[in-house]
Order: sequence, then C-alpha cells, then structure tokens
Amino acid sequence: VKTPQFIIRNRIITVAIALLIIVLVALGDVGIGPLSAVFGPAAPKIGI
Amino acid sequence: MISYILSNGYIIAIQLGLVFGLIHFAWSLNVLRTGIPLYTPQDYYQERLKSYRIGPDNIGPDRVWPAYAIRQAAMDRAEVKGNLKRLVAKLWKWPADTFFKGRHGPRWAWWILLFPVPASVLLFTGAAFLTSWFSYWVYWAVIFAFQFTDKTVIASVRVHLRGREEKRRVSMYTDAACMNCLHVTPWPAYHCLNPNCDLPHHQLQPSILGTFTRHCECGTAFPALPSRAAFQLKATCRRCKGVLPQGAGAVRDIRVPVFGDTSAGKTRFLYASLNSLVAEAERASIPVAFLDDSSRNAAELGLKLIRAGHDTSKTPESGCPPISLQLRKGHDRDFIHLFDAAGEQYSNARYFDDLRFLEDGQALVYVLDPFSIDAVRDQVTGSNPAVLAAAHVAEHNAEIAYGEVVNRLRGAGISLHSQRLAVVVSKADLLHAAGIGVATRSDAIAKWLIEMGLYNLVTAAGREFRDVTFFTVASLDTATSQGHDPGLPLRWLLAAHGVKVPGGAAALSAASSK
Repeated sequence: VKTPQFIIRNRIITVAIALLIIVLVALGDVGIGPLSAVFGPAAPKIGI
Repeated sequence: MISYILSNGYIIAIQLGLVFGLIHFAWSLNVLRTGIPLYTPQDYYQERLKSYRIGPDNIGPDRVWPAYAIRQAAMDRAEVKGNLKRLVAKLWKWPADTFFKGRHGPRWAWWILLFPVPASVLLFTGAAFLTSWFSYWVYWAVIFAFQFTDKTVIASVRVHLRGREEKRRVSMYTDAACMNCLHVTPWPAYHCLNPNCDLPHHQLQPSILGTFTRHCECGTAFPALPSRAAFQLKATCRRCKGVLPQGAGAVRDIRVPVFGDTSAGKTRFLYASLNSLVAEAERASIPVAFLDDSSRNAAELGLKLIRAGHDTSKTPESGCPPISLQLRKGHDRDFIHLFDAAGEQYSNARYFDDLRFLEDGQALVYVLDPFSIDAVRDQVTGSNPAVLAAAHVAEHNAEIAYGEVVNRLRGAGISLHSQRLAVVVSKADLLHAAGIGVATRSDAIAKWLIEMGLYNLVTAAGREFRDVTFFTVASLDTATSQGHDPGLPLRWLLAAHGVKVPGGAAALSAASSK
C-alpha cells in the first residue's frame, strides 16, 4: 500500500518540530537562542 | 592541539558523544522512509466492524484513512523506538564485548594498562546513548502533544463542526430527497472524487477520519463537511443508489405535496402555481431548471396547457412523477419538489406506499373544491346550473380527503405542529361566474367556509398545523384571477421555509396581515 501524502506530511511536521526543539535545547545549553535562559550558563541554578 | 586533546580528552569524548547521539537519533528516523506498517482503511474497517451493526441497507463503515494522530503516529513512534534500540545495541556491542566480556583481550589489560581508552569510549557511547534517547523522548513528547491536542482541542472542533452542520441542515431544510424512491435522508452518500475509485462515503462528517479533509481509500482528498462536499462530489441515494442532483444534502430542499379530493383541481392548481412561479422568476432574472427529464417533460406539457387556457387532463390513478425544479444556480440554489396524486389514491389502501411523499413534505397544500360543499352547490344549482356543469365537481365531501391525509400523517408519527398548510379554495373564477362573492383575505375565506358548513375542517386545521393560511385561486381563467393568483399559496409556503422566491416576501406579509 502506498503511503498517502498526508501521512508523509504529518511525519515531516512531527520530526521537524522534535528536531527544532532538540536544536533549541542544544543551542540554549551553550548560551544561544531563546532557551539559553533555561538551559544556558546564565540559567538559575537548581538543586543542592 | 595534541596537548589540548591530552588535557581535555574526556571532555572531547563527551562532546563527540553528544553530537553522535543526535546523528544516531536522526539515523533512527530513517525508518520512517521505509515501508513500515501502515494503519490502512482496511484495518480501520475491520476494527469498526466489531462494534458496527450493518443494517438491512448493507451500509458498513466508510473505508477511509484515519487521521494521523489516531493510530499511525503511535505506530511510527514504536518503529522509531525499535530502530533506535537496534542502533544503540550496535553501538554498545564492541565496548561491551571488549571492556566487560573480555572478548577482545583480557579485561584487566584494558582497564589497568589502557585505562584512558575504555574511559573515553564509554564516555563517548554514554553521551551518545543519553543524547539519542533524550532526542527520542522529545520526539515522543511531540507525538503525545499531537495526540492530546487531537483528543481535546481538535475533537471539540469536530463536535462544533458537526453541530454546525446539523443546525444548518435543520434550519435550512437540507435533507436530501430522492425522487426515484422518495426516500428522504439527512445526509446522502457522497462518492470519491477519483473517477476510477467512485467509492461511496455514507458518513461524511468531521470525525477521526478527518476534521476538514477526508482521504479516501484510494488516497484522494476531499472536504469532510457535507456543506462543502455536496458541491464537489457526486451524491447518491442511500436506499436506491440513484444519483442525486449536485448540492443534495447542502441546499434547501422543499417538498410540497398537493392533496385533495378527485376533481378538486389539484393538477390544475399545481401547474398554474408553477406557471406563476416560473413567470415571476423570469421577471426577476432567476434561473429555473428542472432536475430530471420526467419533471421537465411533465412541466412543459402542463405549462403549455395552462398558458393556452386548456383543461389539464385528469391525473391517472397510478399517479404521476413529482416535478422537481431548481431555483438559482451555485451554492444558494433551492430544490423544490411538487407532488400530485390522483384523488382516488387517498381513499384506496392499495396506494398507501405511493403516497409516502406526504410524510416527508414540509409544506402541504390542500385543494378544496368549493362546489363540493353542499351549501354552495345548493346556491348554484338553482341560479346557475351551467357553472355547476363546468365545475367538474369533486366527488366526495371536502372534509374526507383532508381527514384521510391528516390521519395518515398522525399515524406515521409526523408532527403536524411543525408543518404549514395552505388551504386553497379552487375554481374562484367559477364562483365569480356563479355570482358568489369570493374573499381574498385568509380570515375572510375561513369565515366564509365556516358559514358554508366547514366549521370542523377550518377549526381542526388551525389547531393541528403550525400555520394555516386560506387562499382562493382561479387557475383556469387568468383574466379573473385578480387577487386569486394561483402562485400565491406556493410562494407563501416556499418563502415561509426560507426560499428566496420572487414575490415571496409579499406573499408572507399578505398572509401575516390576513
């Protein structure tokens, strides 16, 4: 059965969103981008 | 450079591991490009059959691709997870065999003599492991968010859209009527756009099979809303599978049964009112088209007789096909079906099924021959017997035909309180000729009928129907039809059901002022 176009489109969207989040987290970790305030060096320290 | 590597070797191993883990995850997504299992329309059909009882119409669940978030997303996620597990196992195989199982030399040699090697490799694979699984869990969370949104926000959108479609159906009277088998259905079957597929879809509504767009088994996409699909897809009757006109199930569909006694003037009235409607539409530049050949042929013949001032022939006892026409083009078109039956059919149980249209009509016309009223006949017999001879007086008491139809509707569980009735006193021209003053206002006509002894009929009709208006019409001699326009009752009924008919507003205001 040939995979319909809408399934391929949905797969691309989900994967793209996931990769975007991962990249943003990675960039945030080194202090770049919108997530740097959460994951970057300047983020508030949590824990002991 | 070498000194940097030597001093920061472990950090570099971890950093490389982090990058490699990301690549690893991206590589595991590659499985989505291959022929992984799909949740096909056939799978959905088999699953639905478990809880679906196929009725006598043999209509089962639709064969459609379900929305991505319903099943396919979870299946894709499971495939990605399985692939990632395999890749991670491959990555760990050599370090595990070497450093923990001793398959590539003694373990103590690795851990004591070459300690930086296992340490760097394990840091690399560990970082890669963590990154790849972190990435997977992000992907998992995205899919979960999709599914959660589908089950909450999108589901409520679907409910809202279905409610809107239902409200539109009820308020606009869009139930589709098949003139072949007289079956009326809220939603007809719509066929796939692909001419090679032509698969019927019997439950076309926003659902898990698509909120705005639906994908047929063949992969063709089309609107999931009947109000949009009706103008693009072929519609067929759910019962006889006959093809319905384009727009069926989405446009206003008004059925007007005309009933009354034999020789009351039903057929004459039907064509005279149609003639008036067509003439008014032409004056207003509104296109009128007949929906099928039998309607066109019957209407052409009937209109020709009316325009020539000739008598219409008596309706055969076997009945005649309904006249279906369309007012306007495009999305605001209206379908109108006019039903006529021989008077004998109302009093003969043999024709019970042929009169099914009575139960599905929204607007009824009762044609009453004034010369069938004893008091009127008595007046005319002495003074003007020629008029009585020309009148072709109806055979039975005026109340019998009315009673038979009302009893039938009540027996079928039809709520008369939701229907409108136009009581048409026919042969007004002959009443004039006989010297009987004929009123044109509804309340005056009702009063006159009561004076003529039809108290029971007038009061019962007013009590039983939602709205009753009395008309006097002259269908034969159009010269004397001033104030007795045969098109007025039809225009009133159509306008009351929202049809933008020329002269409809005037008919409504005239009826309300009566």
